Amino acid sequence: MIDSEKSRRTRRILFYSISTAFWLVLSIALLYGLRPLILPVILGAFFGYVCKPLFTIHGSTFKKYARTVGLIFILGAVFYWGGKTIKENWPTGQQKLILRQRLRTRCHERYENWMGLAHGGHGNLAHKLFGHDLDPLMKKLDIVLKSGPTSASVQAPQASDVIHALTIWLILPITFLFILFDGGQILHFFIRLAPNRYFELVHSVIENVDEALGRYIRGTLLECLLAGITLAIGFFVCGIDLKIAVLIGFIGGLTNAIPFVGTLIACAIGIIYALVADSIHPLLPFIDANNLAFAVIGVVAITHLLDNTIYQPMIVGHATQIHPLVVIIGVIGSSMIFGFAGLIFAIPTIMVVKVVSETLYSGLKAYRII
Amino acid sequence: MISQEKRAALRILWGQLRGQNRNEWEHNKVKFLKKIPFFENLRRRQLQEVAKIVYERDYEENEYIFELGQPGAALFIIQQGEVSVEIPRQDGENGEPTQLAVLNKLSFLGELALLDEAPRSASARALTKTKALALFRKDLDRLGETHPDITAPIYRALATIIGNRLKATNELIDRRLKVAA
Repeated sequence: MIDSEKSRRTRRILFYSISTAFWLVLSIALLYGLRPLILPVILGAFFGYVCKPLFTIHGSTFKKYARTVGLIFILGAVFYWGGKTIKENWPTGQQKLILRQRLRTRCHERYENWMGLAHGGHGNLAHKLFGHDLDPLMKKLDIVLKSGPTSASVQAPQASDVIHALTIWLILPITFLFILFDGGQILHFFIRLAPNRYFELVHSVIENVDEALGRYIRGTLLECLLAGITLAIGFFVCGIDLKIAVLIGFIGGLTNAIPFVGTLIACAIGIIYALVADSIHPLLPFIDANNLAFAVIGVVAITHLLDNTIYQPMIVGHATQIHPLVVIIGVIGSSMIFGFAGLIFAIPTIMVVKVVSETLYSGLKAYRII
Repeated sequence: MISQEKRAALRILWGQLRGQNRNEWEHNKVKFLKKIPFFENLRRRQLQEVAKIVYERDYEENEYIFELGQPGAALFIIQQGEVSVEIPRQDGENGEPTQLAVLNKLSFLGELALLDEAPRSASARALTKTKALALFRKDLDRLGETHPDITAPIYRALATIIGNRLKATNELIDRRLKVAA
């Protein structure tokens, strides 16, 4: 009897080991093979998590649907406006050439003004100190702007491409609706699969991860919104046209979810605009066209400071902080593997892994499994 | 060989797809829950909501439902079988654990886990093959956000049960003190 129990136990361990290895390999293969689906799935889950509290708080079913539809409408309108404005303002081939030439001229003008080389000048102290290093850089930039980026011919999208994209993006509303209306049924299914010994632990870990993830996503969205508003107000005060200021704020706010990289993107867009801007109307008297780029850097720095000292600690909390080295390696590595989706979602994914590991570890300790 | 839990899980998934089995399964669960003091004041529709968040578990003979010192996360209601509530011997000590109670069908255990995550004050071990329903604190909290009308009577019943136990403990201490005097 005891021997039979022992052999049953061995068989069970063998079965679970082989099954786990099989499912792990299959999951990795599927994840790699279905890479195009990652972005729509994550976006669907993101919107689902954002809307979830509105759907689950107390109230009549009608009110729940009304609140959820209202939020979807607002989010949809914001993203639609952002996308439409970017598309409308995106330069055509001819405009790109003009912009590049303007940027080249303005870069020269600004550089000469800053270094005291304008109007036949021989250079100021800054030029004497840094000119030796900056002059070759400016020459390289001039060559790049003169020749322009090498671009492949752009083909009009085929009908099959559109159908393919639609098929892929169809998963977004499905994921969204699943997260919103499932009511935890699928999670219940997976929890039921857990052996008795790990039953309470599995439930606690899943619940904690779900809670932390929801808090992180909603907190990050609010943080990005505040960072975006700060950037937009700052750029407007510096004299950038309101529409453009809001647009840069929108992009900067969106990319703010990526630590460091988001700030750099907002800074780069702001500086490029500051260099090509024809006329500015600053609210602060000491800002003019010559120092607008510095003002933009100042605005980005202040936003970054406010984000790190006020917005993030108050909204997202310290629990979701990741070491800068992990951020850099994570962002670079995942963007190399998964492209744009990897760049955007590397940090949220690392966050999920961090929360799962921490919760699992403390759970295993608390339940005396390890 | 598929275990009972996996079979139950597959039945639920299949039931979700078909709808029919699930309804029958939940109907039985609702009928059972109605007999438990926690839920006796709930209406049928409210019990259906509770039935959606409880888990059905099967335990083999001598298998632990929970152990002393583990964080409490769920209340367990015995559907079938016998459960021993006991305090195991301290490390290094040999012998049988101290049995506090033997619970049967319709009894419940671990109810304090519905209030907080305090460690379990005793272990619960299945004496025979046992079927139990588990109700998690976090699921109940979430249910309270959408249906406070359901969770309020549950918490009231829990308060009454804990109050009654406290009274009984006080009386027991009084009696012992009198005997000692």
